[in-house]
Amino acid sequence: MSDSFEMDVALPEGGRRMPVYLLLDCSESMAGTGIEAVRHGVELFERETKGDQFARQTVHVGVIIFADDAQLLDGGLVPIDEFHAPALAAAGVTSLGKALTLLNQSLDRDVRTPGQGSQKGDWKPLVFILTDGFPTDDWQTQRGAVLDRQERKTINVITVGCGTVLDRDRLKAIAIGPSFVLDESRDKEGAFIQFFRWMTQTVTNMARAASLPGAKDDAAVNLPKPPSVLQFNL
Amino acid sequence: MSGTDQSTYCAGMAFGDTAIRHVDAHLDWRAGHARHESYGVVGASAIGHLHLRNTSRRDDAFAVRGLGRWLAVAVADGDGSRPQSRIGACYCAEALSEGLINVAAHLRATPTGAESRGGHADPSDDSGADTTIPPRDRGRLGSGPPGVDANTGEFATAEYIPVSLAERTAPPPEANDSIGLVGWNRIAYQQGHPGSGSPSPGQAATAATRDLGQAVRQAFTATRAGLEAFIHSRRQHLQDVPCTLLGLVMDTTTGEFACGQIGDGAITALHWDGTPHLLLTPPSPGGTGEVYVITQSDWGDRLAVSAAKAAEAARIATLFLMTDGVAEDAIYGPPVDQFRRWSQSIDRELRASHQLAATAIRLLRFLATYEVPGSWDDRTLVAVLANRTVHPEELPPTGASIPTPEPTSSRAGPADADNP
Repeated sequence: MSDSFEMDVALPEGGRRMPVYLLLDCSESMAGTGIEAVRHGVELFERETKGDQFARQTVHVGVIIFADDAQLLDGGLVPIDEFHAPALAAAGVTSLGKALTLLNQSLDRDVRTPGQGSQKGDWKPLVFILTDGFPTDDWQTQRGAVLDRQERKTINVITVGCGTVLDRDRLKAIAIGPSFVLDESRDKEGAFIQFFRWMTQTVTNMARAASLPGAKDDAAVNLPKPPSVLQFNL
Repeated sequence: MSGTDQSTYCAGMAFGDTAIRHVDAHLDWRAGHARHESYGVVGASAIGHLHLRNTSRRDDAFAVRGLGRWLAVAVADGDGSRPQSRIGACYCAEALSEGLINVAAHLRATPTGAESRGGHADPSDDSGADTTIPPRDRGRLGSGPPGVDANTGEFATAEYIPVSLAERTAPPPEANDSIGLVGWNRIAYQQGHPGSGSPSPGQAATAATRDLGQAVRQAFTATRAGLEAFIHSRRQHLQDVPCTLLGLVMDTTTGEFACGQIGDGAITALHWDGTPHLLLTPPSPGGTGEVYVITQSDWGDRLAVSAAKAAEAARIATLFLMTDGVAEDAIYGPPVDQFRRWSQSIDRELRASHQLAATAIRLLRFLATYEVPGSWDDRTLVAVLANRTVHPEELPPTGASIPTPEPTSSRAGPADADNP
């Protein structure tokens, strides 16, 4: 007979994860205030996501920086509790294709699908691409692979254009999922901060919504209202 | 109440959530329990942490029904993105449990018991009747299913409530803990007593397994039709109340059962030898967060149904029906053997006390408080605990995994945890 009011039941050792990828353009066009603003923005994202009761339990971050080359920092997805905003420097060209290659590789390698080793699958990854919209390598092939994932609804991608050389038409060609243009004309630093705050809100909202049955996973539906500095790139 | 015959007892039971009609009395936490024939049933449903924080409502619902030899369980999970989805979940849980009982009670029976050994009933044989329902009540069952009026959404069971509550006798003293009464809602009672009205499992008229599976399909169909009418009467739309739905109906005289599922969640079984089994793998849309629901137009294509014959059922110690808020934590690891670990440990805890009332409260507390990262959804679990009696005629040819039969009364509680 049991005298205890508590039940001693075996629970899983880990929960479902919400993968969040940040693809950050660190090319020459971002030099100066731009790259500083991005760094502050990532710090804000780290701070506010860690401070959210629900997002803190699930969000895992993968940061891919790209300029002449591309690099997936920390080699994969990092729990938000262990994540630290990286130091960023701007130089070189915009190797978006290489960044998308790393993204595709990580999605295949690091994101868990249900049943692999009887483990829980991850929530649908959320991908933010921040770029000057002026790629200098072969980006079309890898972009096609990412677009295929988006159309199969296995990821959510949001593309944001920024920087002085931004070409809106080119951004449309690059964009996967909803795309925005960051208006830096009045306050560059403030604009980036507002973008990252909105991005954090999107992540925390998605982290909560994902745990509910039948919750819509269409990012376009779940996006919080963008700040005024973030304009739809129609 | 009239009558003092201690051998007469109430063999109908109901507990769990009920359809939201005029007053929304859907509670944030709900637990119940009952002993029905030789089975113990414990159910609990707890609002999720995220709903608590958002001050939204519990979207899960469950309902348990017993009548004569039949036992039915239903659980449902309202779509979290729809604020009124609990209305669909509550209705469907009650209607399906009611419908399963109603449809199953119309099944023909086979007098030979051959079905219990894996044979098939002769569909032309109409000699059988549900002898666990008194003759005068059988005539009130109506001409057949469904259990829900497709025009009004109201439950059709009123026609087989045999007599008023006032004519019923009190349960005998030894059965005072036989049900944790949450609410009665148009559920049939019956009279009878062990050893007279109910045949022993070996002699029992056994419903054909294929018919039991068909009963599940019929009950789902009736529930869907009833939901449509019910929601229409509320001047709402089906898309306002999407929910998953899982149900099980069992012939408690043989253990034979069938179950159905649309959407996520799980119906699982723990065998006496300690191995867990997923009984159904319903179609899934594949995308994270996407789920099939009873309210969609092609719901019938998304319904999975499975039936177990008596020989297979005899291997099962406990059946679990759960919404995805529990299933996610019960089935998936790490570790890789999480399903086995969870099944065995929850079964051990549920059998740790002979007092089902205490077990139900402990289960509710567990569901309401355990913490797993990212597990914030409503949690609902109903467990059907088999007695350890195994009748020789139900043993499969191999019989290797079946424990030695032990003497026990037909209304005994769950097995002792020290002797699993």
